[in-house]
Amino acid sequence: MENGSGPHGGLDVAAISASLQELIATEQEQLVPLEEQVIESRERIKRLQRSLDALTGTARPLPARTPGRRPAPSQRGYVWKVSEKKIEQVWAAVLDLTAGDPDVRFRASTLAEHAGVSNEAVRRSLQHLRERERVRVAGHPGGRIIEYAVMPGAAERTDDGT
Amino acid sequence: MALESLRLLDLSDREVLLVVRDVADGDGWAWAYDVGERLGVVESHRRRAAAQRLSWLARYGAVEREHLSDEHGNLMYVTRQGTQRPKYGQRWRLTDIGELLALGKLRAAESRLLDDADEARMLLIARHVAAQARHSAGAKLIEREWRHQWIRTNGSSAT
Repeated sequence: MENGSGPHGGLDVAAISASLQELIATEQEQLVPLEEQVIESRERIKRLQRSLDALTGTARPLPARTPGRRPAPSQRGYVWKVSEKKIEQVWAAVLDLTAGDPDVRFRASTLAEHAGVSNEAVRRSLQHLRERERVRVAGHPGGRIIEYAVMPGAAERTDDGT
Repeated sequence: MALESLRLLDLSDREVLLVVRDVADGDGWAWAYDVGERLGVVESHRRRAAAQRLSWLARYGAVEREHLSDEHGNLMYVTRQGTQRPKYGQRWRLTDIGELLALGKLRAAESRLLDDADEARMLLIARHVAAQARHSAGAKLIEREWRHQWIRTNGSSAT
């Protein structure tokens, strides 16, 4: 099969394969934003449907509770929001742990231990700090544990108060 | 949970660009596979998922894809549908705009101005930025940055 000779009678199979692979890659690239739009659109539909159901009184009843199993807080009708004070406490711990170095990666559990704050409070605080571009997701080894790092420039931004 | 794709909703462009820098070699080139691996994409999708996201960033001018050259240093091309196009490798590098997006920051005076702006002034600033961005090379990046920040803060229905 080398150089495309063989069963295809002189055709440059390798070149044609490479060309086809390029075409496939291009098509796949074009799919990404469309998939993003579909996901976002589905989420919007769900939210609108829930609003409509609530308005017309046709909301589906919640599934029956399994005895002995407590529903998650979000299913009990409220969502716990982490306080601004806690977010700042976690941010201070981030700076302390990393010395503001954007190359130092850390995990939420390490940070929780360092800050003396619960894992859940740290996880939620980190979400807020990502939104504020103070920390970033720097890795996700094995797709399980998220590693964070300080956003470049974020530590200085806090220092000079700007 | 391992990812199968790298969506804007999960990772901002800036986060992706910084990971490219993290895994890059001394010349700034990073393999798509390494980017996917670092971001926890399942092995079967690693190269493809990262390449898809990076392809979009390349279209917006934030990264460039390696243009392969032969053993004599001549750039290689492939002919597709009668058109000659560069033969690309699987390595990517941040462009100047990408570096700015990843590492750039406002000057202190600019930050103060925006921090102090009330709602009405913020509206005027947003209008001005939108008008200026229309003619900018990084217009799409500006739109994506806005969209990403907005979705994260306000939810997807707000866009």
